[in-house]
Amino acid sequence: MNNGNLLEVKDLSVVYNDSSRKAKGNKAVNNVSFTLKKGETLGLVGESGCGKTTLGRTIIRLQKECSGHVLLNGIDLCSLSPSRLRPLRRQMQMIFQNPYSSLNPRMTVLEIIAEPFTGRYSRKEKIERVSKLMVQSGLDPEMMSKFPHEFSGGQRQRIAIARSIAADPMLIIADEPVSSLDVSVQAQILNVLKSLRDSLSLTMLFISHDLSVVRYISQRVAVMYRGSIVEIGKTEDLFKNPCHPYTKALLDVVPVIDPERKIYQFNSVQSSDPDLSENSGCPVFNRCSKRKDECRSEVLKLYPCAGEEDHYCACVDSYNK
Amino acid sequence: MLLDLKNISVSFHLRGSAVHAVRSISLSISQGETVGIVGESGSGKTVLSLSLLRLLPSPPAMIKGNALFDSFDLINCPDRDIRSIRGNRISMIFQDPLSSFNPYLRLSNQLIEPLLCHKNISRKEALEIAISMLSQTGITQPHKKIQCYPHQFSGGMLQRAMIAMALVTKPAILIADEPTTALDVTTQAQILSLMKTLQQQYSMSIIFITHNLGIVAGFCDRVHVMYAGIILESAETISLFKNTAHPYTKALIRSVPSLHSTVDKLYVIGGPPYDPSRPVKGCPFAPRCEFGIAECFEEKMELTEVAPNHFTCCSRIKKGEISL
Repeated sequence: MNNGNLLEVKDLSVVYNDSSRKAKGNKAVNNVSFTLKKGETLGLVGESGCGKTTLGRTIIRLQKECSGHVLLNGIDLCSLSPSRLRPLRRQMQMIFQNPYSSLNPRMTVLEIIAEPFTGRYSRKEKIERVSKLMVQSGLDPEMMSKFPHEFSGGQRQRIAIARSIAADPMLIIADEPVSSLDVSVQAQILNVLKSLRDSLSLTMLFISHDLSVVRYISQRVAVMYRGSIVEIGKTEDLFKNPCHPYTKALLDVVPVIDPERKIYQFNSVQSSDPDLSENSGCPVFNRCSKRKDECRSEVLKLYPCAGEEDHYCACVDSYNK
Repeated sequence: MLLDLKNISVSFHLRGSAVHAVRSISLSISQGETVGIVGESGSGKTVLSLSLLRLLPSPPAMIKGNALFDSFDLINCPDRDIRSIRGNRISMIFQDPLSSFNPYLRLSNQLIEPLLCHKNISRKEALEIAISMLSQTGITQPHKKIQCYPHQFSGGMLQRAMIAMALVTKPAILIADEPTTALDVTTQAQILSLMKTLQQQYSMSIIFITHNLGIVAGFCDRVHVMYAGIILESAETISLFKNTAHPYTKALIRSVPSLHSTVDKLYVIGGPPYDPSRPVKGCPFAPRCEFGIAECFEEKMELTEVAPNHFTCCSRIKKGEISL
């Protein structure tokens, strides 16, 4: 059945209407297609404003699409009525970036984690389930009657993780879950996410701007720029052999712990004043170091990269080579 | 030495309890040098930098020690003296550019303010200097852009404007408190290269405060690793990463995911995070350290030179009992 794909996103576009520019809206997501197999983690990287969060929110139906389809287990979520969609919402959970604003300060940890399965269990069963979830996420079950403000940032993110797996979801969308945390706490949370993913065989869309974090947690990676996926492939392939000039440039500017590599000498992404005007052709055009005239008119399309299975890149140049 | 800090301590007294944010820190900075201070949140790195410019309200903050800059002691000099230095010879840039500007004022007013305060020049001259500074930070059409309000700029542009504002008076020292944390990696690389260029141009010293070990590795000449308000290790950058001499530094390095290799499980620093309200006996990292032994809790914390220009606090490293 549907080739083992849990999630299938087809030609998804999202447009935000800007009241000051009535004629054309701002295309946050532009014809994005990808698939996600069961048990797989796809990392979605890009700079701020590239549409990665909008894409995540649209998949989970927090945001209405403009055109295109989102298929969860073969069911098109975009055409479902709200009442038909409701039972499916339980199957898709989200972990947000800021654990200080994503937990209700007036609810205890027990209430927060039990909320996704409210009404299905007796109080005793509920407490049992919540303590199991807390242990799984690395929390002490004795703390379940406390309130979020009594926890540190790392612990709060663990509460959010426990909540997200509470209803046995098929799909988890993690939107920058570690970017507000310290490195040592970040390592703890990443390990929790990875071990939960492996033990519960979770399917995850991991959104982040940090390439090294994405490399650690994902099996496949998609790079987004201005609403379009410009490169997608297996983690190893993409990091060892990046095809798109933008991916290469991104990899160049990530600070790595190597005292002999002077970060300020890497400045391969050209700066440009943001140009939000609608244009056909390559979205990276203004900032690309290898641009040619033909890039301006080329219709954006993902080409398979030579010699590597499942590795696609939107750059005409890399395809022609 | 351009700036010499001696036994700086900062504590906050609140409702009878004292929180020791910085405990007896000594370090020095010479001209043109880039010094990195790394540590996790709560390690006291921001408090240290704020106390240098006397930006902490006192009370509740109690600042002790000496910070010698020229003939001044920044900690104990009269307010009049620190006002003539702050924003003039020592400038600071902050983490969040959007909240560091006054949203009601045009950038022009904010950029010329340091000049009007410290230099005896007219508004018109000041504006010209500010415009040329703005164009040096890579902002196109500075004549037009300087008349904008902060909200009309993107984060990266605003951080450039903040750098321009900090540098209009050509300071001897720039204190940069996490200046790129709120920015994208591509913008971060641009801002860092901009800071390096301007540093070389004005032979300025930079105190770079960050939690990102990758930036420290690629940007600073010398690094101080802070934990619980104490410098645990201090070394030249290459030596710090090649011959790490403190378990905390090593643990920090190991807990960062690598860009070039895949690991199965990230290294995690165990134990509870440091609680600043509790008194520290011996090494503050000892409860979480994988090499911690009973003696670590008794040891007096002192930086000792273990290799040329490489200092550590770890007594077990000093004695040669462990190697990392």
